[in-house]
Amino acid sequence: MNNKCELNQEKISAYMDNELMGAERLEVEAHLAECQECKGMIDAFRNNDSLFAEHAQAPLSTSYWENYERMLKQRIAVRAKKTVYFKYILPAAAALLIALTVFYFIQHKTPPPVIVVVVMDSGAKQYQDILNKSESVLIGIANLDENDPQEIAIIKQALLESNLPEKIRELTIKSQNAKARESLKKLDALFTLLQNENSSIETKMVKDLVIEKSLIEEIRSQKNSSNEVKL
Amino acid sequence: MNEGISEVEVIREIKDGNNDAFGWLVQRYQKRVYYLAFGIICNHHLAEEISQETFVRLWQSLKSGRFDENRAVYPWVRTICVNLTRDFLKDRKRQFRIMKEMIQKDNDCAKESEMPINMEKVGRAIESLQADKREVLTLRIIEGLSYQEISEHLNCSVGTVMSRLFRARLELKTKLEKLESQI
Repeated sequence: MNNKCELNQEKISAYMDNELMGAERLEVEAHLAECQECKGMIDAFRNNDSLFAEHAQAPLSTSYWENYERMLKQRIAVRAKKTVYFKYILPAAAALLIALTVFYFIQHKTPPPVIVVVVMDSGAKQYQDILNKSESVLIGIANLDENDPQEIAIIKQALLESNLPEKIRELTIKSQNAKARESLKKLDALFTLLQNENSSIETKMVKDLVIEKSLIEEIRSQKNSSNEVKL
Repeated sequence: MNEGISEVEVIREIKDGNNDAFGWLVQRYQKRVYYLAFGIICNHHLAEEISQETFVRLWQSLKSGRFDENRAVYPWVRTICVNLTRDFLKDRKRQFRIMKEMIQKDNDCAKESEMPINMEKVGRAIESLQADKREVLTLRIIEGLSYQEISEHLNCSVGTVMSRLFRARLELKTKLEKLESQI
């Protein structure tokens, strides 16, 4: 801005645009009558405004505008298709996917865990690893004695109290020695019970049977804190 | 369509699915919208892109029923266009992509708007202004808006508009005088 001029030169621009009223307008008019520099400025502004308009509004050919309309029609047609897709088709597809997913999970409930009944001999440490690594719910049945119906009753009670029948998907007995294999016969009642409670249980008997007594106590202590019996 | 038809009737026709009615609106405002975009952006290809997108957005508004048919159409169109130019200037990635497309189309652009040599110099001076200065000059000189109307578009005070316009004109004057002295 011109520091020599007393006038706030911003007003020159506003005066030119007819935005000043009253006393302000008169002030600028009076100043312009005397100040050649400001008069020159306003003339330059008016001239440059015309150049600006001429530059911005340079005429374009008729064929350009015909092509412009054609391009615009194409653009609108594409956008209309996208609108239908995003407004109707995509949400419908998403809703269908969600419905199918919910339906699938309802139909395919999380299966109950596999119960592997590992009857362990206290000397058979290798089975401990199996128990520790297994993701299944395991029950250890300790030193099962075929002649000890009380022990069978304890195990049966522990199973019932832990609501395991609801949780059992598979029941596997592993037996290692001849005596333990005999004990499996005593577990028939348990199998029958469990299968009656939940027909989906598959029972398997394998040759290895190892018994670990301390596990019964652990089952009893855990049955109230969790639906799963863990070792 | 009948020349005597009002914009309100045209908008009703468009809502009823008459695509010719939208064509009537486009023909009425296409140059004005293009020049508005060009005044701010100062590039033919970009002005074309922005002005076309303006009409697409207008079409969407009219079709969706969001637009009040008793409102004047052009102020709404102007707002869309100015906002699109601002969005474009903020979006660097889009600028880069369109600039690449422009390089391929440069020859066509030159044929469409050949200017006298002195106007090329004017063009260079205008292009060298910052976008916000071109914006305020365009709204005043091309669109003929009052300071109050400009302040509503720019979301600032009338005093700020006055100051910004003065600085824009002063800078353009300085640049043009410099170019003149280089002849």
